[in-house]
Amino acid sequence: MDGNAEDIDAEVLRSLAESDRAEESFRVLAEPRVRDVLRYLFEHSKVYLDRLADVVAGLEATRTDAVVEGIDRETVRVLLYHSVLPRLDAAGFVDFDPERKVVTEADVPPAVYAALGVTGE
Amino acid sequence: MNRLADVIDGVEQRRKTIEVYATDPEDAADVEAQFATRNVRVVKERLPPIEAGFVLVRDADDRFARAMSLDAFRRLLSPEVRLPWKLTKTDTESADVFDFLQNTVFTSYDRRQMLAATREIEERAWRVDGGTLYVGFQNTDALAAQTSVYGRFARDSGVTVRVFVEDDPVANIVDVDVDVDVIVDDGGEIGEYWFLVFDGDGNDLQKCALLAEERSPGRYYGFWTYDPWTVDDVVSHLRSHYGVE
Repeated sequence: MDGNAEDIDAEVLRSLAESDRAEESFRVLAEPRVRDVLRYLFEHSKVYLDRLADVVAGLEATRTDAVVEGIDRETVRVLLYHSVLPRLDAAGFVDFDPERKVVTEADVPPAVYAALGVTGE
Repeated sequence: MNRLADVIDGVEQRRKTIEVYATDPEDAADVEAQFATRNVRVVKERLPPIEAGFVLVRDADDRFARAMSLDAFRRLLSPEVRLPWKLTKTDTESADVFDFLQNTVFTSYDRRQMLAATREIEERAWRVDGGTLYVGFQNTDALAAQTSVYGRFARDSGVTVRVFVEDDPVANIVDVDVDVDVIVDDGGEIGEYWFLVFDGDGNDLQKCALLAEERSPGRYYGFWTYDPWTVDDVVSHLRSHYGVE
């Protein structure tokens, strides 16, 4: 699967466009790392930053088909901490506690999960 | 250290965790079968159905060491065997992949997997074009099968090859290439181990070794490493115990 362009059903896109927070939804869905985080949260409603960094780094390994080293995983962790998670928090999709370094699923529109392919809708 | 068995014991002490992330955790079954020992703990984690799986290795201190896709990991376990001088464009990739599992004890590698690991060590020696490669064959049949490879090393490269083989009074050692030094061991540990040790021509960054014990017919228990101290230990043992340089 290409990490940059995924097939999203036209119906799903339509619901997404008509949903609450459509604009934020489209923005977040544009980035592979954000998609990885949201998909993981769909099945694990609370996760610590370290585990999330491991998972996102591992998923990048599947996209590039290369070995992801410790330094790459550190880069992912820094990006999650400083950029991805604060933005998702600001958009209301997650609660990110930077002190405890834990992320909790807050309020992700069903249309977003459908667009991510994790639900059957 | 006294024996090759001690080297394997030492590596077994350094615990690792392999985490397999997959939509179906049963995808980890083959990984568990190959690696679960007292050295390696295999953990299975679920991913949402849309994600491709990956494998993550943790060091003894439980920190993220490296990750690769499950597909690439499977290719690592079912490698192609090629000749060491047939270097390909994917050299770097194959070295990265080989590095992924260094110091991780495998429990039942077959001959093909052992040969592929053997080629990784030989390729490094071939590229360095100097130093000494110590090769242990359990018996003269195994040696005869590889003799053309080592003959070529002896003639066409700066690498000195020292081959160790268990004594077999019946077999015909004159079939071995005349340019290869053969050290014959009378009924000791050599008969049980398959090893390749490259001394890196003195450069720590080029040292590497493969060491495995045949624990059941055609099945090997062992590891490979790029760790210079481990390689130095094995080289010292071979030199002192067998009186070679």
